Amino acid sequence: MPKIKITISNAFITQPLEEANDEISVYRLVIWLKSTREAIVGYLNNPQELGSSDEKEISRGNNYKYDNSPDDKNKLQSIEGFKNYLKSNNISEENHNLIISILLQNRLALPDDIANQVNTFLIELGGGCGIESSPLKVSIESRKTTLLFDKKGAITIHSHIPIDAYDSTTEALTPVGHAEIEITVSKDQQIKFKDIEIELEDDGHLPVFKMMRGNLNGLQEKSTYIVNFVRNNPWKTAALLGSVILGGLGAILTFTGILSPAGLVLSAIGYTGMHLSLTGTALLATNLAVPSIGGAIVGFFANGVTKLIKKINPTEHYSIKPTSSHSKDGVFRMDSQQVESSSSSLESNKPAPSLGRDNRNKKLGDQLEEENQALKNSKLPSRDEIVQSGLADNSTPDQENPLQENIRHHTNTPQQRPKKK
Amino acid sequence: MAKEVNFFRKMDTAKIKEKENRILDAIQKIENFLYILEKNQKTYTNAVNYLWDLQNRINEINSKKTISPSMQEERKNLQKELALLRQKLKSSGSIIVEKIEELKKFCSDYPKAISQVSIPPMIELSLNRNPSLKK
Repeated sequence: MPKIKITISNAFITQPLEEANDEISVYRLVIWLKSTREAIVGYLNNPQELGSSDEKEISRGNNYKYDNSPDDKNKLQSIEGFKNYLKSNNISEENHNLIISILLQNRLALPDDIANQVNTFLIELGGGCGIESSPLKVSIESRKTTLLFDKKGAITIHSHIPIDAYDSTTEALTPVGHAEIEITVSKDQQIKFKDIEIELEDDGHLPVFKMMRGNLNGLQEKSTYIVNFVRNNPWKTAALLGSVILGGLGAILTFTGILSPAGLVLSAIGYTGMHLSLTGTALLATNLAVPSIGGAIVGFFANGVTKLIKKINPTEHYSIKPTSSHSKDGVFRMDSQQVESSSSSLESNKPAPSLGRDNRNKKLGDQLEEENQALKNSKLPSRDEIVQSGLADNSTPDQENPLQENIRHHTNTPQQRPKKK
Repeated sequence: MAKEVNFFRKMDTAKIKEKENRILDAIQKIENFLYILEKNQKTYTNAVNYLWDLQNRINEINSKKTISPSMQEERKNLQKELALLRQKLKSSGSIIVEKIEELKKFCSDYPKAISQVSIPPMIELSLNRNPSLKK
């Protein structure tokens, strides 16, 4: 099976947010995947902030597992032991709590969050284009986390995360690829996420990637300029083509003489014995008529081509542009700008509007308020409604309503589902 | 006699039709709820992202050694925007949480009803219902 490799640059933005007080440092970690414009906000706390079961483990001073890797398990026997370990690796003391926080968070929640995020990303990417071929879900679980220390006092946490396709009907999990996630904490407490690399087996579940690779390479890279020009300037194109052909016709008429339509007319008129002045008039009229008719035909044709190209309109379907590295090494890369523009176009099938900051804030704020109001008013069916419809569990819908199965079948078919208001 | 049979047949068909409509109404109500909730969550996330853009911009200005008067003005405006958006997010977040809780309760009370609709992935994640997708 061919493999598809996706690299998402600058997918994460992280930032230590606030220090609550001198004793307890709380770092807010924001993981922002631009493709879905979603953020996960995780709190990285130092050990004092852990739950009671964690505290017990710490106070016991041993067997506190930081991750699943056997090597690290031995190294990280306790918080104090780990701090000594960090010290022996020239990590400054001021960074100890932060690193421990990240490791604890990594053990407790981070892989899950990232898993969910990548899951959403894949589903939305497939669904956003309307070409999701099967009920694919992706399950990701961190199975191996490794720690690396360098001489400058930085620590790198690397997670290898297998990705499994989840089939909701059979509940089967099939391995389809893996993601590599790497977090580096430098000595000066800067947290950096390396590009996420996702490698997937291309078994037909992810047609969107194939389409992007095939269509974009051919259509956008080479012919975007021409397509856009023709689409935006139909009459200019028609005039341009018309004038080129008119010029050609003129040249033929000039150089071939007797074989030209005007020449033929001239000869025919000559046989009739008509005056030269009339022949001259006919020549003039023919020379005018032929190019005009030709130009009109070409113009009509060019307009037709324009309409056709408008229908194809590749740039509105996919706004992710191929990069120069795209075809060379078989690696599909999206930089942050491309990912951002793709997400908006995937949602609406239109290029992202370039809003100013004020507009964006106003728009988002107002939109949020409006939608909140709608959400406030939105209600799930009441108990009575559910009972009356036979969808309550204590009722026997099949006996009450023989059409139940039929209705269920219909409502599960997207085309026949009732339209959303 | 035939007229009476027809009459009762019509009655049965009408009843079945009515029942069918009730089910469709209930399903549509759930779907509308999910649709609005999903839309809301997406906008909320966009707003959070934008909040971070603003915060980053402020930090960028703060990190400069010398801050010109125009930058001070810009920072002031940014801070104002940030405060406003944060306030909106706060109230919005509580509504979303409240509705997710409502949905969670509905899912546990009426699993048969909820199985009639497909839940968007984003909401599914918030509901945290599927143990096979979790660690």
